[in-house]
Amino acid sequence: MKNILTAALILIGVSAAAQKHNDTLLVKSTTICDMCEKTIETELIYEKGVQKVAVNLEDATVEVVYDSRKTTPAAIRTAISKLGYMADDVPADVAAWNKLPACCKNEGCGKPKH
Amino acid sequence: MRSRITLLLIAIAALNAAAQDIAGTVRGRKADGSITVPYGNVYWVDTAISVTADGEGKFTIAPIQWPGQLVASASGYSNDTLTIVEAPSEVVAFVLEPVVELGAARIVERTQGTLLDTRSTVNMERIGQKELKRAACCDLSESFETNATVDVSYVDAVSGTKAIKMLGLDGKYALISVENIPFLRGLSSSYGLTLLPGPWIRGINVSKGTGPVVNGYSSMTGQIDLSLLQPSSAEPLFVNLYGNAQGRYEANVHSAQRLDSAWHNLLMVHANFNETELDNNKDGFLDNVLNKRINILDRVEYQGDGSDAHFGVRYVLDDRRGGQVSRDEDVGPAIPRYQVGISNELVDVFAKGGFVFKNNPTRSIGLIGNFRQHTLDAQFGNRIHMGLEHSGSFSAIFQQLLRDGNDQVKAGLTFNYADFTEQYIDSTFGRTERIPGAFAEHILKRGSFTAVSGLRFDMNDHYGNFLSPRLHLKYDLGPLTALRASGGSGWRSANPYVENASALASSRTVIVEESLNAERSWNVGVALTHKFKWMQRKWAFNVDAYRTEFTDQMVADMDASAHELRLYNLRGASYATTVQADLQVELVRPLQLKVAYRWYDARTTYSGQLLSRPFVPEHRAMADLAFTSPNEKWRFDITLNWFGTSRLPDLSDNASAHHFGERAPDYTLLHAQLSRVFGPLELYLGCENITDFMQHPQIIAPEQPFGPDFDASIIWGPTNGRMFYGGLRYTLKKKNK
Repeated sequence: MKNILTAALILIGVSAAAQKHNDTLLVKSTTICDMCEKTIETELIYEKGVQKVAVNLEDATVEVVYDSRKTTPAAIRTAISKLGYMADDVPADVAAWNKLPACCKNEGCGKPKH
Repeated sequence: MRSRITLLLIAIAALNAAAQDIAGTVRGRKADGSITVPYGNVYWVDTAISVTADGEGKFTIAPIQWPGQLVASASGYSNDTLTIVEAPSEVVAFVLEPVVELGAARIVERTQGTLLDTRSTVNMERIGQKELKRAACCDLSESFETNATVDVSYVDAVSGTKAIKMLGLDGKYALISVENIPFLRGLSSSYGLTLLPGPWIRGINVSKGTGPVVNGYSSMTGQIDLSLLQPSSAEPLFVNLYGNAQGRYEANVHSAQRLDSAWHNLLMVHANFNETELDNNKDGFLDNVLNKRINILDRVEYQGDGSDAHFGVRYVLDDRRGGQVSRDEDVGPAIPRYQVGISNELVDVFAKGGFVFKNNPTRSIGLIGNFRQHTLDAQFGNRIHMGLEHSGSFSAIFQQLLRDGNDQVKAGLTFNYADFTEQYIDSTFGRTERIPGAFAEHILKRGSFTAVSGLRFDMNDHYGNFLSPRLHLKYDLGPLTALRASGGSGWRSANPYVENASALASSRTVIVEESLNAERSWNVGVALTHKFKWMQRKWAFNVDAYRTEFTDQMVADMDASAHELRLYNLRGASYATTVQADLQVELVRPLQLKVAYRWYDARTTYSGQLLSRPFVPEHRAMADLAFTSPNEKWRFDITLNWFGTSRLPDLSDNASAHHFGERAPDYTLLHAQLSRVFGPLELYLGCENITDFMQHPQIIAPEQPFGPDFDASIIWGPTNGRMFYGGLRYTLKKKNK
């Protein structure tokens, strides 16, 4: 019982420490519809160092919480671009954009045009 | 001159006014506190003058009068109004608060059939509708064909009764519930698995290890929780027709109606019919079971502001016949025909409701109640088993969120009631159990660590009081990696005759050696789930190990004698250890591969000897390939199941011609299904047991069904050969408002 408690406390300590290396990056993209939100969130989380991904359809941004020891903002922007979406000043990868479903290529797929 | 000056003054005034455009920003605050730019709209109240904020949230708007009311609005946020009395000297900053949304979370149907969940604290696999459709799937017992954790098999060769195995132990040690209402218990624990139609099921959550205390005391090895179609999300009309080469025909019709904005109703009707006699292995006994069945469920759903409620009624009438094939009566009445007839009639009523306290949304109460009446009338040759069950359960759960929703406490009271009157062969008996109970659970979340600790206390007026502690821990090693551990104890009252109904399909004498205790066990387990990308593909990996140890068990001993089934309390050790590894990968977008391997070591002390449990293989493997065409019109699924050898009960005191061997051989089963969608219509065609592997022989001494060695309950493998089936599903979709 005591061992379990000690182990639990160590785990809590480690997880608290891990938070210190986390940085947040807000990327402006061209995400358009619900499907794009799903695609980006489920695909980007597989990138090394990415802890959390939140897509905001209203302002077409992607908020990424990442471990600054494992990845960099540039790598994250490249990853988003490879999915076929624009990332700040990095244009969307043409081959990936072509593979996107029709809805994601059109402006205004149910969401405001900007 | 004067007019010109006036004009100039007006012009200057106009310029001034223009220079005094109000500059500002519009920002939104998300639920988690972060600030976003929501492309807000800013306008003067009661005018048509409005501007839109830009990509950085900045805007400028011309004033019309002082004072004026300036409103900022954005979709998903509450409006904010500022009364501006005079030209502001600084930038006007709007920070909009999000609109709080109550209501059911969107259930996202993904392309994978079984989701390995990295989010829940309990080690849970979700089987969704896409996967349920891949199996032949006519009833609940056929819904686990592509799942590696749950095994379904026939208990005997004559009655068509199926049973589940989980973690190497009989399904009775798992809590099988429908939307958290206990479903398979009492008389249903034997015959109930085939009484729930597959098309009624929306999803199945299979959890390994003891479950949370909220769900009851009897989840000793795990919990299988089914969720059925909901009135508010079901399609207005669904029709399913099914037929197979063995003469089984089924029809399902669902109709969902919207009564008004808050009330919805769903009616589901299922009918099943099989009158074709088959005896391909020529042992004189029907390979399948003749069947007539009707199931009806009507459920009503209410979704209100901060409360929801569900009510429903279910009715089942099931008539099954098996045994020897019918023959001309010329053969003479001197040789009686061995016939099996089982009839089940069930009425189930349930009601659940949840309320969120209006003045304190962090608090809520849930009430769940159900009542059932089940009549069973079974006859196996000369043996009868009749039962009448009245049972019900009620629970009240109070939930309070703490610390901004990170932590939670739940507390509640439960009451379980069961009244049985049974007649088994030549004895009649009855039992009434009243089990009040109370439980408390605490959920703690700190960063990546979650701990759910619970305690249950139940007072069974028959067996005494039981304290069941449970602990579930989860640690997120990364966003895609979860480590889980669980431990706890559970108990259940044994129903000796219902749970050993397969003994009826034999000439074994059932001997209950002593007054039976409740069954009690401890279960501990660890599980690791990891999702990753490798070679540009997405993989999901799961490995887990569980150990269940019984401190009290009803031992069903078939080894003491081939002519007896002895039931007695455990004296010695009884445990089951299982290790499982699963791997899922998306080979290419349309193709998913899943492979799984399980190792079991389940042993019980039978008459002083620690032996492995019969019919539980030591090794089990599964591979499943699922193809969905990019336009989702074609679907193809092929599943390979391999079962290792298992121990068979000791039949040494039978005549030597009636021996089965010490161990069952290993065998492979192959299933495949192809389906094509044409708009609202889906056609499917499939084949079960493509390699046509059947257990041979299935029945001991089939030529003397009333003789001393007759036994149709030694079933280690499939009793059905190759079977082709086909069907159609028609869905009338809801019109989007």
